[in-house]
Amino acid sequence: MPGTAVFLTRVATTTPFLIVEHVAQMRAMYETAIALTVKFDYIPRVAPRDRIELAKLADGFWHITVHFGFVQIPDIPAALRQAKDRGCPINLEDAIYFGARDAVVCYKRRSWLVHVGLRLFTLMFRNSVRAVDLFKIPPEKFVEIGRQIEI
Amino acid sequence: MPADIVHVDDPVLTRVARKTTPAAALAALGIVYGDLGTSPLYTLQAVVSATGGHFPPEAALGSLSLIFWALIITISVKYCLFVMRADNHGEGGILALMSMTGANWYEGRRILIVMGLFGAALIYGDGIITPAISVLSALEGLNVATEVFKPHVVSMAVAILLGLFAVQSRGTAQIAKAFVPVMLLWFAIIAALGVAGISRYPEVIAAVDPRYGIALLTGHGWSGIAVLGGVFLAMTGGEAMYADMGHIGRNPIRTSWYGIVLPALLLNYAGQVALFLGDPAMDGNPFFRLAPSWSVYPLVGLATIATIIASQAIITGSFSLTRQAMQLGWFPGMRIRQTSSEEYGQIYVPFVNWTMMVLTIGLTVSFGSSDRLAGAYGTAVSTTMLLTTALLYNVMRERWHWPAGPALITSGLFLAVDFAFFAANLFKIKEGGWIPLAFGTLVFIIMVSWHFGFEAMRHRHTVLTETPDEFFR
Repeated sequence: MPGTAVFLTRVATTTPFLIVEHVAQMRAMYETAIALTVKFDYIPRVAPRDRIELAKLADGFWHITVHFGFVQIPDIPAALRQAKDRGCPINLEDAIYFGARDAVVCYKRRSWLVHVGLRLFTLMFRNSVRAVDLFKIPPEKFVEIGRQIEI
Repeated sequence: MPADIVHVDDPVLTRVARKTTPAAALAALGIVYGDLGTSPLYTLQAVVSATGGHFPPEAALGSLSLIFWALIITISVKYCLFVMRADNHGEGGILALMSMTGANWYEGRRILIVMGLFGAALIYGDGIITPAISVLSALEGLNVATEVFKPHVVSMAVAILLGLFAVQSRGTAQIAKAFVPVMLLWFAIIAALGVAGISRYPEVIAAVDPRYGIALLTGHGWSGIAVLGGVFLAMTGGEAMYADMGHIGRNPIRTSWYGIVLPALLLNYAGQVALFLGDPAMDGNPFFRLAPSWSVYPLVGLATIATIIASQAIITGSFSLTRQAMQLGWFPGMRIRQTSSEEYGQIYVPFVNWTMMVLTIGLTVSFGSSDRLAGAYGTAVSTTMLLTTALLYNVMRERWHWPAGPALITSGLFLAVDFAFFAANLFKIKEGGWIPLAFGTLVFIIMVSWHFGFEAMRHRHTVLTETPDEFFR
């Protein structure tokens, strides 16, 4: 398939579950597929020159880690523009962003305290905002894929 | 934000780019010193009621001596000289201090992480009281002039707070420009009022002698400790100095503290105490008693604006603390809106805004007066200050490579003072001091559950992921 697909993932260096599922369903891959991980470093600001780490994993498959400081406002399209300047063939105009909308379910545990904490987490997770609202991703280009995660 | 505080998107440059220009030092007045600067409105009143209403000269001088030395040791020395040296690439605040210790949850020294997070969570605890107590105390000045407004003070305070929280979504960068001249006028006027009070009873200057304070603390058993709970209200804004270091800069904060804020505060507290030397049974808010009767209304107006500025600083501070905690992975993702193109200080977090509004207004209505709220105020921040000292000791040893001796002596001195205030504040738990502590603990539980829930989920993701080699084969 022509075009660029950006898969937002929390797991660095490996092929995100999302891409595996996507390819299994569609039986096709985008011309350029990017697994993108946003990482907030333990410093307040990350300089622009340290913003991105770019790795080519296979033909047409890239991994980008975007670094921000904990007081910075993350801007994914701007970071992708930087990646493009550094040789990653991104077509920013028609890039589509994929993110997971995880439905977290929590199974019974032995420890009562852990169970209550995880229940509180699932409640908060259901109500927390999606990546699209935090990373300046154009909402009309954002596709969410739902799945269930057991913790 | 004034133009000379340029935002350079480079951690090293940001640190050196900040020079102490007069404009930068003045900018600190509008952001950093709202809380510390409006404390004279309610501190002495709380001290007087802690002594049970009897305020003979030795108690008056003792209290002033304690306020004086507390502002010197904790704010001028601990925060201005030592804590503010601990900057994480220019950024301050207890979360930045926590990450400076290099402690990592998975590599031991979890206690430092727990202390940093709990300290940060507690800042929210007292943050819901600051707007309520400040605005109420300013409006209560009306009661000095007339009885007419007495039944309406609470509703006026609620109206002001409602308005303040309602305008947050529009962004406050434009209004904030007017804060500096107002705060400058405020500090000039409280200094002048203080001088007027001192000139009537110059013997109040004797309180500089710490023996008056020690005599008050040791001579009256438990009630001496209770006085410390009131004195602490003069310092609740101290932690904010450090938290705001990132967007004002260390030197401008220091310059304006030593040059403007500290002198104005000391003169004003001395002036208020001087009044009690003349009339130990004086009632009503001593701050407004300093003013000639014709000036009470304009003074209430100015005080109200100053307390709105102080409340604004707390609200903005909570927004940026939330963003930091969120991005460090200790807080659930929340909708954040930028209200201006600047980096931060101009963000709006609806959930935090509305939660704070409901709690602040609830406290205003249920406590009904600044004097009663003073009983609940300070328990959380005094705990945070204690935790800051503990983290500071670790930074001294590991980042600054101080030998054990000097690090122990310095932090031991601060810890002794912090611990005295912490203990005094524990006496307030029954009067309402449990509220900020409970709210802070709730925030802490949220932070911890979020972090570990997320880790559990991340772990699950790793299990579900393939390596690229297998996939592309």
